[in-house]
Amino acid sequence: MSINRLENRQDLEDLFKWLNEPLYRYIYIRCGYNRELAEDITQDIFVKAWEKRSTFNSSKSTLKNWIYTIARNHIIDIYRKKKVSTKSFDEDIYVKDLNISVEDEVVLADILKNLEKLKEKEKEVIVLRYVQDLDIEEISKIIGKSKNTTKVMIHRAIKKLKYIMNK
Amino acid sequence: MEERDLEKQFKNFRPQPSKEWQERTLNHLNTVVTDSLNNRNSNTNLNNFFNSITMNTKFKAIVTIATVFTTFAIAGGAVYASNSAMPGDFLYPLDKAAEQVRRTITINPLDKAEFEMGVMDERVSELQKRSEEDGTPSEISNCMSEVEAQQLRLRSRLEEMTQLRAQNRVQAEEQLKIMNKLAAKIQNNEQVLSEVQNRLEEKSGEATQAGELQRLRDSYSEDMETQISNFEEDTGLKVEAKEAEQNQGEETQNQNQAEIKAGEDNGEGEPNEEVQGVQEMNKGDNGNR
Repeated sequence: MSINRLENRQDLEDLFKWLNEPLYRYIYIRCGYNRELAEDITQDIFVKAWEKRSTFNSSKSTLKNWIYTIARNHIIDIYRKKKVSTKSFDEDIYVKDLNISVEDEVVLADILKNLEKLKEKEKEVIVLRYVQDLDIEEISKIIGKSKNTTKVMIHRAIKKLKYIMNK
Repeated sequence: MEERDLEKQFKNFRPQPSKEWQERTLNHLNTVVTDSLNNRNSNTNLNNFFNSITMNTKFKAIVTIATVFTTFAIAGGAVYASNSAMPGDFLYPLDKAAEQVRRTITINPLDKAEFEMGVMDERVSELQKRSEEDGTPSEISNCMSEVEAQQLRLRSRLEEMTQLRAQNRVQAEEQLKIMNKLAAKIQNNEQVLSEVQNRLEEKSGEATQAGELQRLRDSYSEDMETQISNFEEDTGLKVEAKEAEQNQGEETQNQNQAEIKAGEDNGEGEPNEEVQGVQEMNKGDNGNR
């Protein structure tokens, strides 16, 4: 499913069905792996998108990028107002119910734990690239950087994560 | 661990929101859409209501004309009323503002000088009126300050006119008309200032202010007379205390009267050429009859 307009009830419903899971995931990781908080924020993002629908210009951006940008700015606002309480990473909570092997659970928990050691901007580009599966161009538009800069940022972030993991 | 491994592990990380939340949120979004559409309809209805009243072309035209007319009437009335305002009065700043507007829109240097002469008359009249109304020393002092300030402004306009004449941008004959008017106005204003001074001297306790007015009057006379004598020296023209246009008319009238009288007198003596011609025509008329 891919839509590029937000004009009526059906468009909003389609948008929600298409992007609620990836957006939830993005917010979940960015907001301290807090399920309830991530759900609340994700809901707010869709409401905000509907309220701001008149500002969406399909010739300048895709609906997907536009809603990610709303989400990103919303998270920045939340951090600015210090509404997010950062919990210590708990692998028992965060990697449960993923339908993966126990071995993978351990490795993933280790990766996520080390991901928290990166700077927020480094964490952001890794999440967008590897968890959200966005391409370089999409990420560059969301974070407001050039494609080259974005590519370099991702490369450095993943290199740093690898370094921390192998230490 | 390599990048490929990291990528694979991240792909495993697919936390899901609860189904319950998804249903709840869909319902919530439905409500949000419904509410927003209802608000838009009520806003549209409200807009339609106002539009039906205000967007009628005739109604708009009438309101616009009425507003413009009322604004001009009020502003015009206030400016007119302010013209008779005295220093310290509520409307006096408006009077000064109106003068300032005139100053700004007057471009011709001769008109500018003439305008400042008119304002000087007004300032002197204000002082006279204040003294007749037994104004307080403070009110009289305010009026005197205004006269002094206007004297400086007038002098600067006269000097500007002289400079422009030196640059051949103003004709000496044109300036002469202004200087003639100035000479007449000096006499009038001196007369008025003298009366005010006498009134102040008669009032007990106002001797100091009378002395100040004496100084002001002397300064004004000296200043203006200097302008006139400089003009006479520079141009060789003689300034006479007269209102130029009026005196021109009077001169013509006097000249005509003199010629008519000369014509009557010449019944016995030698008529001048014009009168003789008229007399010959009259003779011809009489002969025809």
